[in-house]
Amino acid sequence: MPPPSSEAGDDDGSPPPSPALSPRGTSSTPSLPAPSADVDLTDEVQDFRFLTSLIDSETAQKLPSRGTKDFEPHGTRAQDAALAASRAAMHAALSLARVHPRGGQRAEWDGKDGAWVDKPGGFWVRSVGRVVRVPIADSDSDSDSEDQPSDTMPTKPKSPRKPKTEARTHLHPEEALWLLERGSLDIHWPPAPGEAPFTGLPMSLQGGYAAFLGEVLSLEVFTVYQYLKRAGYTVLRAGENEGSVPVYKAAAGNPLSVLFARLWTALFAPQPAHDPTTNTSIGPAPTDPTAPRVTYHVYKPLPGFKKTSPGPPDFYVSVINARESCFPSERQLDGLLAQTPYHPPTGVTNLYLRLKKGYRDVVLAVVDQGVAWSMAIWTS
Amino acid sequence: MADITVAEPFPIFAVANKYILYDINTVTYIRRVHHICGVLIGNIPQAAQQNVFSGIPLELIPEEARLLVERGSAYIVDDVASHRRGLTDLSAAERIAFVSVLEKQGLEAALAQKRKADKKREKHFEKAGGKARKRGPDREDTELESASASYAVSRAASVVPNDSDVQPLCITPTTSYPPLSAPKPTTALLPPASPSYDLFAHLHSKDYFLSPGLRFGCQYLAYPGDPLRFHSHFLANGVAWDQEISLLNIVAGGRLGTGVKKGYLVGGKDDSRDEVRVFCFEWAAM
Repeated sequence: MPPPSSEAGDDDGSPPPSPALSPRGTSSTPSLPAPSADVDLTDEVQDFRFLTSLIDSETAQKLPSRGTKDFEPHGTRAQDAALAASRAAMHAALSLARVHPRGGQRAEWDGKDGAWVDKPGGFWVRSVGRVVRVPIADSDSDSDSEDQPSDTMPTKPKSPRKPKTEARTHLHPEEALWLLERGSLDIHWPPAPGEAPFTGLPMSLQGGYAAFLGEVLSLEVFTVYQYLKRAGYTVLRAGENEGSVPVYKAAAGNPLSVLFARLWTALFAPQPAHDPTTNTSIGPAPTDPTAPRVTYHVYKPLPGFKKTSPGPPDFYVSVINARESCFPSERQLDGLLAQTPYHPPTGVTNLYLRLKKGYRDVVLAVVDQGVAWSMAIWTS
Repeated sequence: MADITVAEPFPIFAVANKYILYDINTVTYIRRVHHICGVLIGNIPQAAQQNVFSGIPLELIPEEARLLVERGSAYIVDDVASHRRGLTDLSAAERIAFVSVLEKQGLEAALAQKRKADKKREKHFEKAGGKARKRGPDREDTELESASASYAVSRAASVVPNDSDVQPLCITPTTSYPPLSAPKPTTALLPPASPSYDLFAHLHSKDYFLSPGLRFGCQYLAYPGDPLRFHSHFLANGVAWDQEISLLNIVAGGRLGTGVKKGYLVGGKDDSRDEVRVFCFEWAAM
């Protein structure tokens, strides 16, 4: 290992980045089984008859293989029968209702952009939702104070200064809608006057879309959120997770040699049009509402995940509408990449690997009318 | 399966500038009769951790919604306003009636679930009993085993709880109509026509099934029949009549299309003659 007194501009000499700086989690991440690259089942419309076999079989957890399709209709009865069977299977698969056990988990629409959960629990609580302390409503505190005298201990009157609060779990609209669609959560409309909380009319799937989509959550963003969640990733809003983006710390060098290195590069090094090493800090989200921004921080599913301290994200995803926006301009792209951590390809000597690793990277998720596709962008 | 029919015009629900269908009967119906597939964007609750199959709701691209409205088969409903109005207008009697309907459905679902579980258990005990009997004679603890087997069989018969003990399940309905009543048909809202709408309508009138072509970098994928059974033939792109087309785009599209065994198709409408022309390109290098 060379001494740390090499030039600051060139990163070849500095020590390899800590695992925390690497977005791909080199040391702590166990390798996940990668889907085979040559067959992408989501490329084409699938035959729903294979889904029926998937659900009916008790043991099979593997994905169905690609069904055979014909080149063109030729009017035979066999072909018509196959098509009718496919449509019938699709109809049957799509008509199943979402059911919940009685007395299970419930939630209630908060009237604007999310839902409150009653009795949070289950598999999803580890990665979804956040605890908010809210003042207890008047009616509740009244009933509490009525309960107090029944205690044997005489209680001293509480000071009126300190309003009582309780911890409640709140869901963002995308989280609530995902759980509703998944059939994991029974969401209700706010109760009518005279009804107890969480006993309003059950929110239908259609009602969920009407309630949760809007200015806060566009359908494009939800499509990407749901795609990632179905694939098993943990997805957090980028705006609320800025603290988890690792900040790059350059290796401290001898000040004199750093100065010399700068002078040397200024005098003799060829000047590239764009030097990705000039800016190593994390930029804020753009103020222009139409500019692309990092929408979600995405984590690979790991057993030790804690939503209170998620650590550095594995991927940075920006959602783009294919019909309404063009490819980002150079300035927008710079702003977008500035929201992702700086991770110079230190210690990588292979030129192609260096290019592939780059200095910053972001995943663009392009959505065209319900069809999502993604591409990754690097600065090299 | 008998062919499903729904009354026309049926409502298409607009949420956040998107056109969405929630009713499975309508989805099946427009696929069969109008050759409109849309894109399924929802989740299948019984197979929630996969991205190969999607479920209700169905998102219609604006061209599809416009075509259905122009045909007089559908009308657009602002679903957010409709929910806001409908939920406040709902009377107490209507709420109670709807809740009791859900309760009944929930009970049916619970009974169906129970029957499935019973069947599974019976099968299991039958298997266990059969196994014990098979290896019975040449072992010392034959009596014990046969006793346990007969116990298992009798238990399978006795443990089954009564149907009246079953608690109804809570149901998340798929659509909101009922309890809300569907708004009256209106022609006030018409989805805007994109520049490539003419090409879309032309290909659709030639009995092609069309779907968004993002994955192949085009505007529409054109299928010769239902995409459930057929591969797509064309990668379609709409252009304006006097638009300059870069040759490089044609080469790129032609190579891509040939590479995935599809034709690269470009088409546009000549407004002066009210006619749509389409051209197809194939990479033919040696």
